[in-house]
Amino acid sequence: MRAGLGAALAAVVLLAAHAAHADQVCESPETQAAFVKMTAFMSLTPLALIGGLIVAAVRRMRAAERAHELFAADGSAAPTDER
Amino acid sequence: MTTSAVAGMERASGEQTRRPNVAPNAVAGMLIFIVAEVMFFAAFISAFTIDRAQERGPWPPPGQPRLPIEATAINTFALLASGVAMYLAARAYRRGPSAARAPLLASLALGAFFLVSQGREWVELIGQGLTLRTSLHGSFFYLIVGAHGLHVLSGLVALALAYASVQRGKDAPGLFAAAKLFWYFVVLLWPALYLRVYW
Repeated sequence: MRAGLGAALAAVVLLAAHAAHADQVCESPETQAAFVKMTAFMSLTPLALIGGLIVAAVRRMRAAERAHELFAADGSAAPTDER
Repeated sequence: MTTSAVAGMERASGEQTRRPNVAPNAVAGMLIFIVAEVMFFAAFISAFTIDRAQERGPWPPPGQPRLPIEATAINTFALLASGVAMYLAARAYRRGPSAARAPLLASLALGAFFLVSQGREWVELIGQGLTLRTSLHGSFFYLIVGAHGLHVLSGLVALALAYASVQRGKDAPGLFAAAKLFWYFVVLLWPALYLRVYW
């Protein structure tokens, strides 16, 4: 039931997009292409940035934990210098 | 995750052992700031691209001055070289703050050269009649390139603070890392703006 509703909603959105072409902004194929490209750019850029930050933070966290475990097993103090 | 956050987790779990730092607070804050700044410039690029497509003719529009692509290519090279010098400074900093002095100064000098050259270019363009109010071309040019110029100026201030700290022999890795990140952002952003606005 939910899947069907989702598909119907997606179809409505896709069909409604044709009506949006009547907008003044999309009066030429060049403008339409620019509009679509910039919509994708403005939608994907923040996702990529936040995703990149999360991946980098997780990787650094794991590396720090590994280093901590290694030093703890060795009996010496873990390095804290982060240059 | 910041040092204080890791320390908080340790207290919560009852661990008394000292954990290594993951990222200084200055670096975490700078990364979040850079994400916001990327979106700031992305909005400019998006608006510029759509407006330029709507012009449906040659760009810049007829009667408008051409942008100095060749002279700006030299400036672009200087800014990229400044980024390379910053990278060398970061590597040298691992050996000790004083080792980073020379490459950091080179990075500062190349960044200042870029800013002065851009300023000179602006004076010439204003002389040719391209101002913020003459056309969409002028408005976007001064808005986008001007916003980047302000970021270069801020980056130079950050580099100067880092250099002053290094000069005093003071170990301030947070300040240095934050200035380095901001400078990388300013340097890497410019080629994208140059290709989009000038070409």
